[in-house]
Amino acid sequence: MKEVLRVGLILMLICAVAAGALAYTNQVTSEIIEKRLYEEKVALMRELFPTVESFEDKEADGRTATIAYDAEGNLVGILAEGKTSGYGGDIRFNLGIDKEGKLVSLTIVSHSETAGLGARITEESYRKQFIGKTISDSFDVDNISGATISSLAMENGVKREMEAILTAFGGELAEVPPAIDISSLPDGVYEGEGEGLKPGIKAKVTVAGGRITDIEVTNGDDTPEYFNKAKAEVPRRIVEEQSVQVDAASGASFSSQGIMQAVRNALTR
Amino acid sequence: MSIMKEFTKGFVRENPTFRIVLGTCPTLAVTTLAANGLGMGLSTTAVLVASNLFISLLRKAIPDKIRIPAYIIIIATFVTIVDMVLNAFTPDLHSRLGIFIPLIVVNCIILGRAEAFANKNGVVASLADGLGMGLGFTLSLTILGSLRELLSAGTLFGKNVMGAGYEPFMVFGMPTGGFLAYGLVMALLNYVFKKLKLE
Repeated sequence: MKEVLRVGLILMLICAVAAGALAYTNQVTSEIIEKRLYEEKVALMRELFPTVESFEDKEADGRTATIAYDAEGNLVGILAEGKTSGYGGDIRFNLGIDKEGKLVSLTIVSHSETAGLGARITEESYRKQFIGKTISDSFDVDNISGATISSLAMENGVKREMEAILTAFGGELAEVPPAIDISSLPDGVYEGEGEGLKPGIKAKVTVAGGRITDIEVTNGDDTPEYFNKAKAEVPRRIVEEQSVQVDAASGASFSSQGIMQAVRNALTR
Repeated sequence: MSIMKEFTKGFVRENPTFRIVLGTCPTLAVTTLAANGLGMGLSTTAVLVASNLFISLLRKAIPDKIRIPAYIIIIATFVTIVDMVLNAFTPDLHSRLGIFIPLIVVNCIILGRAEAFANKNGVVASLADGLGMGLGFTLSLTILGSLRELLSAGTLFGKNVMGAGYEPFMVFGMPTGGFLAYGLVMALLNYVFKKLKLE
């Protein structure tokens, strides 16, 4: 009995000293590790959402997301984790969504898919097919041959999780803009404002006989080189298609979106 | 045996990797790149020196009955400290060595030296033994890592040395290549030892 106690005490003493040494090392290193992880996150957010000024972690619907804000406190992006059931188990991935509701990054966090087949979902060439999609787009991308289950899991999973993330954190990003019934609008000139690369895009929209007959872009502070491209293309397309959601002028997406937003705002007011 | 002999025996004559054949699991797993081999070797050396020192110091205080759990606690403590320090100061290396850092705990070289040497010898001799064995392990891992990196990617410590026209032997970057490289180097060493009549 005495022997057991003696041996036990010695072992306890060794454990106590070891615990003390570990606690001290942890105290010293954890601060440095946390600081580094934070800096890595800052760098990642900067890369995904160039206009980010601050960000915070939020929790909703049992998910955690990092929300990025610009200098004025507007939401510019969301980074959150999603998961889907693959062939070999859960596939966990990170989704980065920008302020227009577009997917800007997809990275695989962990998976247990078959090496050489399903595991190829981690390859850049596969993942980049999803970049730039919004939840109203089709997520039908080129499958990995020989890995149909993993591919389908990704297509469905990324779309489903993106919708869920936008619903939880995106606010108005999740809502599809209400369709505008142009034919019921009274005749007149409507004015509205939109935001391209910079705010302050103004448009005068003339409606006559239930049709958009003319659009005049009266102001815009975006870089003229790009803004003029958008100004030349977008109003013409809107009049042609009688729709406020048309293809953007190539090379001038921000300005194009801004003009469309100005027109939409004019007509919904 | 002199202290110098305790120190140098780990390099070639009792090299833990190629002569005693201990710690083969981390050897095969991390030696895909020369830098990984060097990092793993130095981490193991740090743990080995510290654990040899403490086990030798406490060799009279630790009762024989509980020596194994006591050694494991001492070793595990140092491994965890190395893990935290690497994570804090060399995050790149830490993420590449991954699971193999915590697994230094069960690296048989460390428990082997504790059992075979440190609990029978004085502090200075144990330190020399730990340092020698650790550096011997580091040397072996760096040689294997360099060989595999050179063959599988044409680079050495990340620098291209084989020229642009080099067709890499991909297999040497994979587990199979680990066994092949390990076997080839060991065979070469055995041949040299026989020729030199060292055994």
